Amino acid sequence: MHKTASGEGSGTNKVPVLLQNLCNYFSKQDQELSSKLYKLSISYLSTSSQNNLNNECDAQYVVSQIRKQIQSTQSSEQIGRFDHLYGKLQKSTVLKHQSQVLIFLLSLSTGSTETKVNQWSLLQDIPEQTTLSVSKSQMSFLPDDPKVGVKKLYQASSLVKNVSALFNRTQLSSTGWTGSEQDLLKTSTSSSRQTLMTGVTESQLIQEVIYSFQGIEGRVIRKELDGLGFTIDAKLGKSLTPIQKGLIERLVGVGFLHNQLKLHCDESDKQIGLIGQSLIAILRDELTNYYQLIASLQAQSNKQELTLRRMVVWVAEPQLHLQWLAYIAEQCSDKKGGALISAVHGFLQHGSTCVQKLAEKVLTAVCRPLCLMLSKWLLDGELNDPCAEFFIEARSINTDERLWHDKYLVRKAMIPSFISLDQATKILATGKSINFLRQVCKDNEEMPGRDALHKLFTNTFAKALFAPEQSIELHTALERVYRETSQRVLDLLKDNYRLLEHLQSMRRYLLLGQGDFIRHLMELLVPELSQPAANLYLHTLSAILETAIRVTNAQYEDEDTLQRLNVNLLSMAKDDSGWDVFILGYHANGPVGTILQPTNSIYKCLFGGLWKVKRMEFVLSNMRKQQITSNKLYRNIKEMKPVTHAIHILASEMIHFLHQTQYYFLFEVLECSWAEMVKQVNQAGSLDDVITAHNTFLSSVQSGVLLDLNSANFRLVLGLIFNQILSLESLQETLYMTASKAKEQHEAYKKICCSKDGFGVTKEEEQQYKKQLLNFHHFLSSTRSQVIHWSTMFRENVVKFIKLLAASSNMNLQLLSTRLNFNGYYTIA
Amino acid sequence: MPCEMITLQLGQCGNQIGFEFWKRLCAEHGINPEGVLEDFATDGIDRKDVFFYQADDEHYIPRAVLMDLEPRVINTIMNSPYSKLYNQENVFLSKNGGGAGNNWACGYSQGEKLNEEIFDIIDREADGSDSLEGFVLCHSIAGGTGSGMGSNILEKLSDRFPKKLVQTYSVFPNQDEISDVVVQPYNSLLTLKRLTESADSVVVLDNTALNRIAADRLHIQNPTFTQINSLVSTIMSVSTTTLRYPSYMNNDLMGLLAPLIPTPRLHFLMTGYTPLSTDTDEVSVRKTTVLDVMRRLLQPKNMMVSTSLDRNSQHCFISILNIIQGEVDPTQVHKSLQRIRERKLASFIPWGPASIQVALSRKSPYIQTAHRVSGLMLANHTNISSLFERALQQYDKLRRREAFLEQFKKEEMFQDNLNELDNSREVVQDLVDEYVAATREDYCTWGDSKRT
Repeated sequence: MHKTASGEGSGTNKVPVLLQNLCNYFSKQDQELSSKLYKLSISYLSTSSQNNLNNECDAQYVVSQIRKQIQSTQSSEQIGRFDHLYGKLQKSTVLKHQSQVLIFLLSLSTGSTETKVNQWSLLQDIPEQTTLSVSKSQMSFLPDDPKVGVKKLYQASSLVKNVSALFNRTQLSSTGWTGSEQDLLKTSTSSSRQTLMTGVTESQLIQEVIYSFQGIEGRVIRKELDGLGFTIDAKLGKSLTPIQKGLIERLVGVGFLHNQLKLHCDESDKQIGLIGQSLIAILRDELTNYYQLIASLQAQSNKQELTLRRMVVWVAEPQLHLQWLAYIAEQCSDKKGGALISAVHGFLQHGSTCVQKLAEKVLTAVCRPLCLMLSKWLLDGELNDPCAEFFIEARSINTDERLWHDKYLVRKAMIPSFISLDQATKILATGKSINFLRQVCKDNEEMPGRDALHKLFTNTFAKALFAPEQSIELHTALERVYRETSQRVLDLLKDNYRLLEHLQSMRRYLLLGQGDFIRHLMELLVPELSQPAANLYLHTLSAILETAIRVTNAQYEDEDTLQRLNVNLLSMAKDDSGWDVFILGYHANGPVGTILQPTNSIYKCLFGGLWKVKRMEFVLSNMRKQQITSNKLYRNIKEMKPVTHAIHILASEMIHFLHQTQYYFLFEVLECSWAEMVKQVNQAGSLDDVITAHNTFLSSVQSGVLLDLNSANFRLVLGLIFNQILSLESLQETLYMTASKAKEQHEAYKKICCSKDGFGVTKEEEQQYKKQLLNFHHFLSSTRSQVIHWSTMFRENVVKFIKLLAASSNMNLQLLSTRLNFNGYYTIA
Repeated sequence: MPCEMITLQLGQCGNQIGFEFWKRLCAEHGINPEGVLEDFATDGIDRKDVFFYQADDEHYIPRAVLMDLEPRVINTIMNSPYSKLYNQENVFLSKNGGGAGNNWACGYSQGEKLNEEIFDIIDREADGSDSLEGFVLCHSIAGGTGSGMGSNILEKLSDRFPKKLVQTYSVFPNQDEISDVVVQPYNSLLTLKRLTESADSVVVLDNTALNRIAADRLHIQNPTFTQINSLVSTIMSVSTTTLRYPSYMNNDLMGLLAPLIPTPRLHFLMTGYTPLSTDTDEVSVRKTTVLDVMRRLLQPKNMMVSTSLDRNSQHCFISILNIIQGEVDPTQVHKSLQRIRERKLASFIPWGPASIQVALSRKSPYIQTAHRVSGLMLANHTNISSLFERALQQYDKLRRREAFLEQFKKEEMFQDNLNELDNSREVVQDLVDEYVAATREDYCTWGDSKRT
């Protein structure tokens, strides 16, 4: 209506062109429909123009006519409405020929009913087509498979693009169709001061500029060859004044920006995912706004009110707008998901409020899908992120025990810049906790504090995510939900799954805390483990384990704990003895397995190491016992004294070394680390805190008892020392066996001496005895020199070990070195 | 239950300290005088089975054999509230009831005669345990029954149970008062020989020191036997605490003794305890720290053996084990050791590595004490030989005059000659020599020079 009215004002010559344009517009590309519409409207216009000659000035008459008309057909309410609308019309400054418009409208309503029917049936065709295209694009917003959906969407959008391109083309052709170009030129030549020598009028230029705003090239304004921008045609451009050229060059920049944005919107493949889609959507919105501007410019140009200079002013702000949009789009072009949001978020810090506002608008739009994902994750622990845009990803896991560790990870690249890594980890932990509770703990109870969060998510827009003043509430809510959920996981593990008791059990049995049990188990296992590893049977060992449990204080242990305790054998090498492969295991599954299972290998390593040292303690203790008891037995064999004395002294030295080391390992390393861990666990606010505390405990124990990677040289010397202990054990065994044989021989000889009763022994017997005695003495002295040699070697090793300890960077190990050499017996050079 | 210990109580003194010991163990484990576990003690982490076993009716019964040649002390026990605690079959009273008359030889020969009966009881008790670790013998070395019969039992034990450990808590006579037992030096010497040769570990409880501690530290002018014995029972219970409250280390007697006794004969241990208090004494509560406790344990005045620890003498520690109870931060232990080392508060043997072993142990939760930390020291110190030297001197004094030997000559062992006395003197002298040798650097080769 607006167009028609202003068209009439500017001269009758233009009317057919505009009418054709209008018809084309309504009918879209359908030429037939368009021409029908055109005929119809021409007939209307021609009849109404007859009337308007008569009643040109008599508006009052027309109004009363209309009132009458309404009165006869419609209710009185409608009259009121008409009065209201008429009032508005009178105030309007846009329409110059108000009475003529009214006459036209009246004639439309009073026309014969037959033509009315025809005309409506014609018009009904038009909306049908437009709704078709709309519904198509709507359909594509409801995807089954999101990827396909995305494609459809873009297909739909390209359809729209095609439509608009066609529309542009028809517009162009219609300009040519009227054939009134020359007349137009003439009128403008006569009416305007800016006449061009070569026939390019300013209005033509303006039209071309307006086209260029939409990405269409004209005669003067040509598209750049391989670019999105426009240049002035070299030939035609010669005729332009430098001022015009300058103005046009400034103006066509807008077209370039438009094209760039358009291109970005159309390059659908680059933007995958919901967040990318929302970016394109907001860009499209902005373009639509921009098209409205073009429309109004076009209108102004039609009214001959537009000059190039005015246009520059008109487009200044939109150009800036487009410029930043294009810039944002460019920054986002190769990004998706969180990274895209981060890129947009970067613009929020811009100094210009205009850019800030723009960025905020875009950011709000792109954050919306993120907000949705976030709420799903935080409320239900669900991940719906087919395009990998969210900053949390899920991986596949083999066992439930790995859920906590491996299933969910923070995708660092996708963390929006307004969320810190710390927050992201907390968000991860919150959703992970929900999944952990649901899947591993089978806990289906209501999560705490979800209502508040839910309310927050439904009430607050995506803006709350990044706007500092609004985000405080969100972040405190996040923090609270994180804390409450974590606490719930912890409580459940501590109360229902007896986490602390499990840790305690592992310390008791795998780290040898239950001394009486370990000692007895070892005693029972000696005959088994002294065999080659290949001869061991798990069931025998398990039976022994059972026995050891039954008779020691382990029997009072919780039944569940005892059932988890099991015997394992490490993979064995060729010459391994049972001692090398025996391992005590603790089967931890279910929720606590999450914490305990990953550390199994460390516990194995620790048990192996501690068990070895314990065995040395056991061996030495037994040696000492044998020494004490045998000393009474062989009190009378004076010749043995020097040997046994040397062995006693060496054994004492070994015992001292071992007991000090044991004490250090068990009390200073294990107990102290344990105490620290218990403290940490009691302070823990989340499962991760407990896991960290537990891992710290294990690694501090591992390095403390010299079982970590850096302690290989310590282990080497310790190994040598242990071997010497075992050698001395077997030497002592041999010594006492030989001694017992010698004692028997001596007693047998004595018996013969006595039984012969005065006659004495035969010479042979005497010689044999003497020979035996000599052999025995020989054995004793060789043994003695052996022991003394070993003593020196042992001392050397201990000195080596002490030196290593003293040189260690670990303070505690230095302390152990002073312990081992408390009375300064060893001279450390 | 592995590592059980059977307690043998002999004579007046042995039964008295044994009685106090069981009283204390019952209190610590929450067992009432009738052997029934108290309601509050049902979920303990302690090992009761080392010293007790459970009867069919779940009553706890001490693995104890009570023996005496005269009925007075045992009757007192049997009339006490604890009478039902013991297995009545394990109470052995000589039928003639005349005692040993404070005569070692008399006690020894009676022991020899009663051998069968006594070992019936001991064998039965030993069979009743899963894997017996050894015996604890409580006795005094000065009287007749504990010393004489005790000596006899010691000899027999090492014959019959050669692989079992024998630990004794031996009460040495008070030197400060004139004893009414004139033959005490003979008794002591003869017993000392058995303690040297047949026992594996002897915890020396010196009445001289105990009385001095009671007077000086606890301000009891005329301490009663009960007061002294409660001191003794404290030492006995604490020194077994690591066996009864299992932890990482020292969970069997051998493990406890192995680092203390470097060579089999040097097995006489001194003890010290801090802070000292009796039932009536609530005044001397001080702030106790680990360093505090460890330092005080090294002070001679807290030692339960009356040796003059002369700093200038060559005497030194062979080994030390401190059993620390209470709220102990393990990190404090090391700092304390470091301090002791810097201040040279203890001198050690020069012939081998030696240091202060520490055993951190739990305290019974059922006994409230005013002190945060308490400590017992078990020490092997060469100066213990001064005690034996004193015994030798007293013996020599008596022997030179051939005094009071008639009583001994009545018994079979001494009818023909007094070789046993001479032999015992030699053994004890040998022991003294070995302890003195252990103060020197060449102790490693000590056996060589002496015997070749």
